[in-house]
Amino acid sequence: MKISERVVLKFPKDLVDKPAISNLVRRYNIEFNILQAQILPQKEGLMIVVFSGEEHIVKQALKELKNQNVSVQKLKQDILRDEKICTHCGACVGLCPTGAFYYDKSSKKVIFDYEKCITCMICVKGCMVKAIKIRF
Amino acid sequence: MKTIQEINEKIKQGKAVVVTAEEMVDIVRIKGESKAAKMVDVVTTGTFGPMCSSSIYLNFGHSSPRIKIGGGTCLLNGVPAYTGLAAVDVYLGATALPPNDPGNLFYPGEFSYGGGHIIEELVSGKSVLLEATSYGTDCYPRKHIRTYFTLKDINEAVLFNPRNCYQNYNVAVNASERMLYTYMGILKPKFGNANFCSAGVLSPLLRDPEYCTLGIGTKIFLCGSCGYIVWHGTQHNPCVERTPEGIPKQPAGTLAVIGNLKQMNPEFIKGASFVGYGVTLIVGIGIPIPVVDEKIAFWCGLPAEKMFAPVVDYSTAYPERKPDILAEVSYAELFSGKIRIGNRVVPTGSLSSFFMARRIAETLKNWITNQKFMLTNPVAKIPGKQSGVHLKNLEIREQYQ
Repeated sequence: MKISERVVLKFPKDLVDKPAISNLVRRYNIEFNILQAQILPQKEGLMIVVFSGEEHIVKQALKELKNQNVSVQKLKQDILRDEKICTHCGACVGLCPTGAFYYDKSSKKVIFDYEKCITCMICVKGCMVKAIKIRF
Repeated sequence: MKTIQEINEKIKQGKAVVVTAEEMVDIVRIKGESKAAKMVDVVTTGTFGPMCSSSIYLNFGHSSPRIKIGGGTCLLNGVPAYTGLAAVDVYLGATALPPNDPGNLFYPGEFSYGGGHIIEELVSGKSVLLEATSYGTDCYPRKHIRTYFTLKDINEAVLFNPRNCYQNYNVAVNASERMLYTYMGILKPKFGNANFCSAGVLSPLLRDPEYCTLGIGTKIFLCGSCGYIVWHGTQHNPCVERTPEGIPKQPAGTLAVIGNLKQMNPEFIKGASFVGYGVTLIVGIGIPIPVVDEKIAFWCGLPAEKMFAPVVDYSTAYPERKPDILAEVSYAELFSGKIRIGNRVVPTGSLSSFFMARRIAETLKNWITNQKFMLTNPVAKIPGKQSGVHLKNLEIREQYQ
């Protein structure tokens, strides 16, 4: 079964300059999408990544990351948009750093693409009718 | 040339051609304004955005024994209403806050509840708590009252908005290094985003930019019911610079509107909270524009590429009231999702809902097509671009003169 796993990775200082993700992808043939990354030389690195692939392969790949001393945590907070409250104004559209909120060209509705969301939560503050909620 | 009376006759006979302003753009592009003027009778518009200068007044009816709330105090769900009127008339503005709201003490404040939310709850049929005090008189002996009420229980509930429906508006950006929390939403530092607030091609006053067909007495769609234009709005500023087509390039005309709160639909009137700024009311307005001549057809058919908004820095220019404009961008660019300011590409977001604006224009179109809504001749005009009416600034004068 194919799955998508959203994880927060923390790289120790000594791993930051190593191509850990690239090695992993080459080895396990999984897809990845970096939602957010903060990697600086000689500092702990942080990355939010979605891995997609066959379930057992994704699990194996994450296990290998852990073995390399990378801290692996599931992204725990979720953003939920309440369709009943949303007025489709788009106050969230310009704020969203990843384009997870965007206008549908024909219906003019604001669409929320959960897969692109990095739960930075700026939309929660920016929504004037409180249609966006956090689920822990 | 057609008169509003002639158009009304056509509406009654079910022969009127009614289109939304969005549809009119295509019609004029294909057929030209001359044919479009003959073909189309009414263009419907719509807008659905936060409009702070909105308010209600209520008359509760009299309790036994009577109380004179006038000159006393009044709280509605803990939010103070103005009582300087007759015994049981009170006035509540959209931006009113409970006295214990911390404001921006813990910056940015949440402003989770206030006047705008109470107005929405009343329209939704919810009960609201009235707590009032008075000093007591021979004719009004009661000194305190505490009761729940709904819109159905009271005599009058009127939405009266001194300034709605801005003709064009600023695009807000933030040139500073820190996040800003404004009435134009959250503005990320270093031009991180640009917020605008207009329905563009659907925006009512951009379609009759010289106020030829509308004025005092014009019947409009107001929050799901029929309302009326009662005056020009506060800060009405018709003499700003305009494009060669006559469209203002800055915030310009405004309208004061009125309507029966009891008949409104909660889908089209919503309380809103702006983090770090305050509470307001989102108001839905639609104005029918009678296509009386080619000029109106031309205006109603202008595409978003021909309407421009000024980009203003809300870190310095706006708060310090400097006239600086960073750029002029078209509504086509704004709705595309990004604008160019110098060599920067900035993502855009709208505070006004185009989706809802379209629903309003479509609703009004259906009402007119189904003979549920007739057009009105205004009884008086609002000040136009030749009126010499200009926005005044408040200069600080510390000495009495």
